[in-house]
Amino acid sequence: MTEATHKIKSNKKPFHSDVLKIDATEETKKITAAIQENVYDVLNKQGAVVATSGGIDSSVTVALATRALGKERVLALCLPERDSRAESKSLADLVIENLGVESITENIGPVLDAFGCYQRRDEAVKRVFPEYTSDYKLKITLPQNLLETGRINVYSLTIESPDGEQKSKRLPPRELLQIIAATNHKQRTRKQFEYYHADRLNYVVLGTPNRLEYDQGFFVKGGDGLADFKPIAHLYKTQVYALAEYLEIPEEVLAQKPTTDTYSLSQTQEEFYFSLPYHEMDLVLWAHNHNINASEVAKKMGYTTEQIERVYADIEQKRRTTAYLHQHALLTEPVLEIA
Amino acid sequence: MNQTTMKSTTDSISRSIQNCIHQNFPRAKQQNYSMSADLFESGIIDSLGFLTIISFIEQHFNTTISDVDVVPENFASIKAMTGYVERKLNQR
Repeated sequence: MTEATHKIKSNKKPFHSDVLKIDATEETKKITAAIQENVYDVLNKQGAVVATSGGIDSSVTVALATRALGKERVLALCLPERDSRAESKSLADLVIENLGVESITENIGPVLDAFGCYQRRDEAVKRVFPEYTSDYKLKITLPQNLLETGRINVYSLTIESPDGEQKSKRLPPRELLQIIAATNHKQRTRKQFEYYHADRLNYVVLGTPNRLEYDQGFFVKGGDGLADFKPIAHLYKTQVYALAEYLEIPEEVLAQKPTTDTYSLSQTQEEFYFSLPYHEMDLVLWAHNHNINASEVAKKMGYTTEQIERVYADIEQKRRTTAYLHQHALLTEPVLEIA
Repeated sequence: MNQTTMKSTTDSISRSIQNCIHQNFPRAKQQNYSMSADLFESGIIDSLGFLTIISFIEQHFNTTISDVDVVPENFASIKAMTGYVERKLNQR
């Protein structure tokens, strides 16, 4: 064994169910220091705007920003639209009220109407289900059998009639792309409002992705993927929950299942993208990032080696598919004067 | 069907699928990949691109691909897709 190999082996962290445990006090100190440094010293701004959806990630981010900058230098934005759940706004209000920060609610529905967001989406849905009308609900989902069979991530469209009857169909490429393109107006419109308020206040925009979302490309380029600083992008979702408890985020926010809150039919993030509960997905992602053998993970988590190998393959497939989302604009040749 | 006819059918299916891939995914033309190369792992197609191939196969070979068949064993490589299409055509 060479010295280098020995070093790698001895540095390999053992895999167990507690690998994601963090010291919430220390982590909070680290992140609040990073927020202060980046907002004031690096970006030379006076505060931060955080779009607050009522979900765990934005709740933790706005709480961290408040600790770092003070409540008078944080603006929480609520940006609901026609398909947002009513509970999301109540949860966001609860977080905002607890923190005592200023908040503004902008209903982005009229802007989305003007963009033709709903109309363009519905045109594509009608090509798949001609009976679809605006009083139907809809969602798009991935296959739910990742652990049982190797799968290819092919989206299906599910519609629900006003009397509750559901129908699902695999989406052809043209319709899938149109539905996604139209729906992406939502995240991009929200970002427009975030930057409007950031510009008028000389604030930064804080992004709210956790590590799972950031790593697996669960964001819209130029939409929720756009921010000046993403303070929790290094934290697995399990760790975000640990911070949420430490930061005393209301129980109601912690108790709800993570949703996309993007389509009218209720949909968890698992159905839309991850296909494993976040706490398991986090562990498998950690293990994959630390080169832990699938067989060791399988044994500790109660799965078969083949099942964990399928999740590893799915992680890699998503990284490949979404690599371009992370890419900055390409140049014909570098402009060396600009870092 | 004799062996020569079978071979020519297999070749024709493979060529049709490969043409579809080359027309829709420019990166494929630049890469030297074998018929059994994993098209996902090699980065030639992604899941969105894959939908294009499914639609092509359904239309070109006048067949329907059910959701349970959409697994890497049937679609990861041109060889796998060719075998899948052959099995579907033989079921008629």
